[in-house]
Amino acid sequence: MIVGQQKDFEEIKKMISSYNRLLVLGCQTCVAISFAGGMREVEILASMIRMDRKMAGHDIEIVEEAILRQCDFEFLDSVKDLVADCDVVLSLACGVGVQALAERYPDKVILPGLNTTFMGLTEKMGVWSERCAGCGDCILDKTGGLCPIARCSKGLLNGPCGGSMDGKCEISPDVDCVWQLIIDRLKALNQLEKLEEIFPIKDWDVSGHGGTRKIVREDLTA
Amino acid sequence: MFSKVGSVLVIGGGIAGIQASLDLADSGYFVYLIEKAAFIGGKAAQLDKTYPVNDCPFCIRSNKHMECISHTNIKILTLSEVKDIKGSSGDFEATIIQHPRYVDIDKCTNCGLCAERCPEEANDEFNEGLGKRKAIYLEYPEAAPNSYAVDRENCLHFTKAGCNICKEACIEKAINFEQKEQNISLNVGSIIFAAGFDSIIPPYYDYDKLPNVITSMEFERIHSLNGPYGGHLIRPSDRKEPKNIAWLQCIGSRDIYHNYCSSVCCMYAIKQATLAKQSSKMLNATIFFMDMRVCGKDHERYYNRAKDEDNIRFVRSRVQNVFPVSDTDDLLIRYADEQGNVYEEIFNMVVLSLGLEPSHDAVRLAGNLGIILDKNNFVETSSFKPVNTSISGIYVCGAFNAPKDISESIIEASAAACASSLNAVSKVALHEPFEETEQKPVPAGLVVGGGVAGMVSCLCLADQGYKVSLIEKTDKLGGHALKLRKTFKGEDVKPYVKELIDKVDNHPLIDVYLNSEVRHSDGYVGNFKTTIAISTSTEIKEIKHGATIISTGADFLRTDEYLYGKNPRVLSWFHIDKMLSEEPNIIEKASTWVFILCVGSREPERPYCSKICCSNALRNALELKKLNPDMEIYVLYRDMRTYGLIEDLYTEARDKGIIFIRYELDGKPEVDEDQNGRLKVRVLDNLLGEHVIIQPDFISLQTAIVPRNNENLAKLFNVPIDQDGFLKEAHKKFKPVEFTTKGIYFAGLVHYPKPIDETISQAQAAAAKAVTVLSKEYISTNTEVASIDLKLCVACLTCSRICPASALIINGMGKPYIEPAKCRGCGICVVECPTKAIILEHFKNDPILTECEALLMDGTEVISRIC
Repeated sequence: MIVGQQKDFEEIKKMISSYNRLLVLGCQTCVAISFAGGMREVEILASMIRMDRKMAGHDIEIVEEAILRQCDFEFLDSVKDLVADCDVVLSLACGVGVQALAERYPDKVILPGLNTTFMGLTEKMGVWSERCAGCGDCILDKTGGLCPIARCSKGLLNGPCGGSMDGKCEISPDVDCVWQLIIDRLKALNQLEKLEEIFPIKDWDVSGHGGTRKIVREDLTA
Repeated sequence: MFSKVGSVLVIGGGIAGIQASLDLADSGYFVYLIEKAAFIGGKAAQLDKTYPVNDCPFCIRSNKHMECISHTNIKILTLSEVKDIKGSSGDFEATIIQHPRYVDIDKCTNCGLCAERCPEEANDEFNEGLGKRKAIYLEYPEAAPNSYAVDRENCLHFTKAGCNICKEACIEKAINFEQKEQNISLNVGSIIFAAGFDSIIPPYYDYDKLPNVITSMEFERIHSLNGPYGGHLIRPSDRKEPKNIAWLQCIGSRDIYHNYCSSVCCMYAIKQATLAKQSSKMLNATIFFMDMRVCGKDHERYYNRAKDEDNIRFVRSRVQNVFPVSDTDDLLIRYADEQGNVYEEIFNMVVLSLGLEPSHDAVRLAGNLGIILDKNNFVETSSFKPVNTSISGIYVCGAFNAPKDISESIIEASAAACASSLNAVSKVALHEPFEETEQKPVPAGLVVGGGVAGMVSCLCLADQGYKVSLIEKTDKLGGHALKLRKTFKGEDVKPYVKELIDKVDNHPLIDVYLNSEVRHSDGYVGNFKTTIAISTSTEIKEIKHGATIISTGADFLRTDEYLYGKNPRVLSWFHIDKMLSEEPNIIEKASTWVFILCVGSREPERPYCSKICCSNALRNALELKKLNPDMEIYVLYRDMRTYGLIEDLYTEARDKGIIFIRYELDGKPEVDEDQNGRLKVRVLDNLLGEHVIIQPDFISLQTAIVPRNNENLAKLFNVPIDQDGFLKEAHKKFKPVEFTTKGIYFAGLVHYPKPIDETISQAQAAAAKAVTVLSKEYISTNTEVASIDLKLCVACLTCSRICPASALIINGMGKPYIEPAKCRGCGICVVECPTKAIILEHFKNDPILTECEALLMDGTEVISRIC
């Protein structure tokens, strides 16, 4: 899923300071699961804004809503009237949702309440970590199911490097060296010979370095 | 509808009587609860916060009261006294006199108009006479029954004939001066005495002349939010905040008139001092004591915190005199330290920590009935039948049995409920309405651990007709009790344990699994499934049961201090027991014996008291003396914790010439041996201020009682463990044998170190709780169960990850499902759900958020919400 992180409250305050009618719009999918933009976060953030503005003597009218996915135009249509009634929309979706809103409602100011951080998973309650960098050319078959692109600090294809110490990465003792994990796992799977293979230079075109990516499936577009 | 013949009579509506009534009623028995006052609740209702958690007991206490009042199986008779009891077990005829309340409970709406108009004031006994109340009164706003009562002695209608002001004021016409005294005759199968205690009226320190010498109960009322001063800590004479307060311990305890320890005063004095310090940071609090007897669960830690964090001063001295200081309301205390130096100090207020005396009325009634009382007028009971009186069918619990605190009273109350229900009382045929969410419980129990606690629980359940499976890890039943020779009262343990084992082995409803261990346990109240592995075979057995009792015991610390394990004459638990039975000649030849107490207990790494070491050492010391009167016996101790009636042992030991030497943690005894293995003990005698050297033949170490590896057990049954490693109860005071997970109970050393009598009563209590589940026609699911709106759910799994009861399972559709019988209605999932898809009726987000916003926006001081 896409993991989001709510922006600093001061930053949000500044963004909305000149508006008096606000729609805080949550997204009940990925960012809800990462506790950044679901209905619960919408209500908490709205409360904080209301209290802050009340104390500053500058009341604000806030409508709170969350929809299933902000990255689909059809769902965005369900809040058409709410969007029309407000000065500004503070979206608690990922960057995709924010842009979808902006695209659907071209006359409206759409503000992001989150930073979209990475594609990852919930390690345990309150801990998320990155797993996929979306490089467009998956190599997990060769690396024991652990991705060095997303999880090696250097994105090395033929690791580990000399900075791997006791299973940890040189950037921090809290970060696992993914190449160590890859070796451990391949050993456990009896596939250590896979490390013999030298990765050729990777084609980064498909990772976005060759420009914005787009997929067109002729069979589905008819 | 139901037959009341064979119901149970509970005498005393204090916390013990209420608990006994509730357990019986919940198990389907009909109960008459007799209370002499106009309201139930007893002494516990007067208490401010409770130790050792200092939490506010108001709501939990009131809930118990209200549950009792509204229970269909309980008939409460307030203002009632037992006049006489005839008959015998299974068929008692009790004559009750009910005095008129002059207010119709069913009509009174508790509006308070009567009291507002009432012209006559009287001393407010609920506030220990520190305030006034009207002659028509309610003890406190939540008092139960929640109806006013007329105090005849002060009411002008009776004293000056004719006043009818309240009657005219009452809108509901609830006041009726025509009510007459009633004689009620009840036919009951068994009787529980839960008559409680009376505070001792202090005969010394000029309590009656000096207004700022107050009793501990007066302090409770002064500090209580619903007390006469609204919770402001001020002294009675001038209503000024005291700057320094002294607590004097053992007032009416451990003296020539009361040769017992009242058990609760050390802890409540620490509590009062701690609370006082919290109300006023500048306050100096001093506690004058003889021995600090804080032996219960978490009590030692509470004491340490008071000393180290709250800077409460503890002075080891029995205060001789309290004098008034002329021209002030202050008080001068004169005391001597251990070395005999005399000091004088001035205090603004002095609190007398009053001991407990058995209720005077109950003593009279018990005397009339021929119930045997001990020399202090507590009910005589044996260690093996801790709630049975000398008359079959009559039981006792709470402070009328021996001085004890709330949690122990509650344990005993449940135990008495269990014991009395075995006494041929017939059940109320009460069918609850059937709903689809209700399930029939499996009418069988599972008991884990075959020591005394486990066996007693088993028998209680089996004797009430439930099938029980007893799981024991070793190859025999009995546990530590097999090695214990005598109880602190001097009763032989062996024959008791043998009888217990025989009964368990031969009971048709008990299946004993020796050499067995629990592998897995799953399910919920009324419907558990546990698999056990039997080590002597490859068999894995699955057992279905409705309730679980954990009684897996504890171990004794194997210390490396004091040459233990190096010199064969340094002994530990049960060595003496064995010698006394098998090798008395060794004892007859020994000339000197040393006992060292607190070995491994009350140390920084184990900050709790093992509770049974003092009494065990003294019992053994006396047995040694009996066999060899010339032997010199030394007991090296830190505080002599012969709480309650065990004090007798201490007195007897001193009479018999046993020598007591107190040492401090930083001056532990030193034990050496010469090359012949001859032992030498060197210890600083605090009284002499000098080192004493003893050359004993043997040294007995009272090592700490340590928890077994309970982590695994806790995981298996989804129950918590406390910071010392013992299992943790749902509430220290009010739910001492329960867990927050319903249907699982515990007893014995797995809870905390305790002597055999307390183990037995706790085992009976656990069984009583289990019966409240097993006896149900149906387990009705909690009404406060969370529900999920699946349209909003995005299956993020948060709820199933955080649910402490493991009630949320993800079904095949990838959506969560709440197991209603497992859900405790705690609301954690509601709070955490990121899409707000979970609802709990009493815990809706919106009102709380709105309230918070409103409070903050007002800009006024936020006052804490009162529960």
